[in-house]
Amino acid sequence: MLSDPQRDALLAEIERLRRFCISLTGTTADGDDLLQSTVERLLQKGVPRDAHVIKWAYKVCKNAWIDEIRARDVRQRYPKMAQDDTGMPSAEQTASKQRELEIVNEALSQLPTDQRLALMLVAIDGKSYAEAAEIMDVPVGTIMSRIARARRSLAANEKLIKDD
Amino acid sequence: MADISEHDHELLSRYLDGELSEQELALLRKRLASELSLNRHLKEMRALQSKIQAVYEDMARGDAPAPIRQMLEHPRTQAGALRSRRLTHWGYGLAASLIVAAGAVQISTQKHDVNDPDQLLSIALDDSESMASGWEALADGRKLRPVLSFQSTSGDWCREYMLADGDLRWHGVACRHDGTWSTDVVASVEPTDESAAYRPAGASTSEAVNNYISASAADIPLSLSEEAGLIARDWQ
Repeated sequence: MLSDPQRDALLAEIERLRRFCISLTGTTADGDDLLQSTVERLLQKGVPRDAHVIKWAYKVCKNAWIDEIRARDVRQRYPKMAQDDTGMPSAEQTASKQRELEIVNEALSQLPTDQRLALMLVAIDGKSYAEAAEIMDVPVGTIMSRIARARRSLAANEKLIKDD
Repeated sequence: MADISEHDHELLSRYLDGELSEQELALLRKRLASELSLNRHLKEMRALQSKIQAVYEDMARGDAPAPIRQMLEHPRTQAGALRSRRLTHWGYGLAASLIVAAGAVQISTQKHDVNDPDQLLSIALDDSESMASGWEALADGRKLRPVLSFQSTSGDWCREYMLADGDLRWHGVACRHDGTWSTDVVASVEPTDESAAYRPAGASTSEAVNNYISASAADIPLSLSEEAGLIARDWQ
């Protein structure tokens, strides 16, 4: 069970955590599922007394996602993509955004899980290398090299570059 | 993308992430001013990063789903859920066999803080018999249906219940510790109709309730007379 201050802290961070979830799963719907799973685990198992609740939440989220991709081949789901945009863009805009999303997701799905996690934590979520290292239980230098390798791989993705 | 060494690529990557020391930053800026390929590589890396950020910012537009926020805002909905899966626990089968009069009973709030919703739930679970259908109205507008009672392996009395708040429904288990009922696990469910059972709204969450009962129940649920005796003795 979480204390009131822990729940408040999580609520304050929930939108960022959600964006992180979406960046991992590649769709809004799956991201929300991952967020739900993360929150459930936190509520059920609580947070160790000496742990920072937000860092712990990202750790739980990371583990939940790894569990998920171990359970099934997530990569095969990316081409389907979510259809849950709530705005009303034109058909052309929608098609263009959809295509971009598919290209980005496909490129990211080809990264090793560790590289993708590190890149998403830092480049999308704005965590420092030290924070990402703590969440992933690895040295800071490992985060640094994983992110650099991830960027190198993405830069070699012709579709991703061509679409610029 | 411009062809540069691994070392320089890593340097630019750290630069993008704001992870260079002041000294490294000063040196890199000097080099960027004079080395065209390094500069081009940085621009390409920035463009790539912007593209990825834009895609996910766009997808994450809007708030986190209300049920997830609600799980954190209201502890009583702690394992609330979004979607549906199965519910095959013995609790439901046994619940259907319970024969208890239905009907709304207003819970007294005179000696309790009405602003504390968990307190209201605790009071109701203390006094109300299990019922197969119908609801008991709580003072704050929620409705409760205790479903069955059982003793946990640790010796505590526990009760499976359904809780309704407007269109929201929960299926949970609360156990009595030191005279107070506290919810140990709860799952959001989707209402079908008032007379029927409920469809679980979330697989993992419903399973959490089921697993909890399976793991914590010491024996089969109490009979109605056993339960009535415990209520009369204030669960002693």
